Amino acid sequence: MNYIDPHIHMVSRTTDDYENMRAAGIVAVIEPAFWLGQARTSVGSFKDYFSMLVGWERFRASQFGIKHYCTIGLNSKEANNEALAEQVIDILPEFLAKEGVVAVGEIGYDDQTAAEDKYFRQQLELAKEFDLPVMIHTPHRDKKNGTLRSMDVIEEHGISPNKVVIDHNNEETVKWVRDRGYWAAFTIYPKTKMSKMRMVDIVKNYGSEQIIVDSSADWGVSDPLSVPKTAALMKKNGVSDKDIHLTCYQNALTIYGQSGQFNESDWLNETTVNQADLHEGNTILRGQEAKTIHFKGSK
Amino acid sequence: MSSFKEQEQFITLAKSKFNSKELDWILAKTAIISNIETCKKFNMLFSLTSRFIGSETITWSPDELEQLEIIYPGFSKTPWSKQDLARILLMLALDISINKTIIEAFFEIAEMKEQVVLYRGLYFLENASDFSAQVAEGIRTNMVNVFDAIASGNPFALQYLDEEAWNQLVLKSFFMDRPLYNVQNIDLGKNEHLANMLQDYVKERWAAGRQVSLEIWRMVAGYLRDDIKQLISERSFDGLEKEVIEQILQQDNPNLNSEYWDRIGKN
Repeated sequence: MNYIDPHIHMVSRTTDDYENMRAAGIVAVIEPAFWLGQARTSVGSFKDYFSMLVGWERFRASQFGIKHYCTIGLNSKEANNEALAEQVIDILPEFLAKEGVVAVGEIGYDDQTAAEDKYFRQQLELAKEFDLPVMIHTPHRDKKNGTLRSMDVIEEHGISPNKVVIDHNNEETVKWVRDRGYWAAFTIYPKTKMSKMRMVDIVKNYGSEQIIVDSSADWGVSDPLSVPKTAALMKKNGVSDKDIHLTCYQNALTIYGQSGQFNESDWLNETTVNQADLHEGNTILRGQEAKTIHFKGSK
Repeated sequence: MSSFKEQEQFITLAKSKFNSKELDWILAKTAIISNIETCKKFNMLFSLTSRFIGSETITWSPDELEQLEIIYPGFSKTPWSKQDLARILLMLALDISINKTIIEAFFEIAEMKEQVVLYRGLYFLENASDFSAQVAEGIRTNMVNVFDAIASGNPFALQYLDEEAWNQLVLKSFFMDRPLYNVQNIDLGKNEHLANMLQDYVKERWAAGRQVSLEIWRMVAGYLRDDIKQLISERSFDGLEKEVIEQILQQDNPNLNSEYWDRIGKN
């Protein structure tokens, strides 16, 4: 079965991860712009980071037969440095216009400060201007209020819930999120957020409609194979192939496909990756045996 | 660099490849970009092109290709899409007094495909030579498709790069396993310094028990050093490599023309 991981920070991952992800059936990933584990101090750092998401990382993924897409946005943590945030907001439009940018994100609240609120709203307006979906990061602390408030603000700005993914849900938030017509994404982490088994139970309870599984793998303890592993556990526990397909592939394609930048044909056509295309000294192969990998899109 | 007349010729040819809706979009946007007051919209419009112009590869008539080869030697070696052409039309719309500032700044934020078109389009500009430092920087990329945009079927490198940057391009082609025969006017770019660096590279590879591309000898032929001749005499070769080595050992060998090397490269 083919899988999409619609939330993963590949800049922090290794080439082993890429190889294993492709072997496990992941054909496409979405990398949301986020913080780097510590705050940046100048707008140039953001510019180079966004450029890397649409440049080098896109190329790196392609060498392993994985199509790489991204979302662009100012994350809520760094929105608290207002002087810097102003400059970052100014450079967002030029990146939002680019091919393969499938949403504004991940944006939302962290501490739910006034500054976070200000730049969240500005970026919702940008999503409208560029007719792009939105990926919402919900806070770890005061999650309930943060999630509800995010939805209130989105509706205040006249954005259709059908164009918005609310991420990092749990058993509690999923009810509100789905009832209000949003897409509910779940981050499967080995220790925190959501576990694979809890995810199986959620799909058993709620079905597959509007539900999306992702790994949010990054520089912390996380697992880039969360999506295929959760799919396998669903299968073992009697979840139907249809529900697995929807939660681990199709729903992500449907919501982010609304951008016009996320097309199944990009990866369903046969792809040949000639690893000899790699620069021996400086790119990813570094003297390893070059392989030609043929991927026939299977569905 | 294309002359003004050649530029006009290219613009006419390019415009004939769009449907009316696409052409309207291009005309409206080039008008914005050609205005000094609004030319800063270039970045945004260059990116948005992918949303308004089809990505299909263009088919050219033999007559069109003949004209294009004069305007841009090597043009027919690689495919061009409608989006590529539209983006080059936007580049050409920028006023020459500000195109360097705008395009160089855009390079800093360009995504993979955008970088490819930018590098392929520079030669069409009237002031193409102003961008030689940018292209020398581009050679440092590790994105294969970006490198190919500079190296393959693009007349810019040989014409505008200094010898040092040009030599890096050729050296890096071997490190990246890129075919050399597609580098525009490759044989005109032979020089002793390059041949020496490549022979040092051959020594290094052979010492490590590794092979070298047969296309290396294209750039070495005529500059073969005694130490390499000595190494050759100590090694055994077979197949095509044996044939090539035998050829380059002959002084002033008339067989070693471009057609010969193109055949070796394509092998």
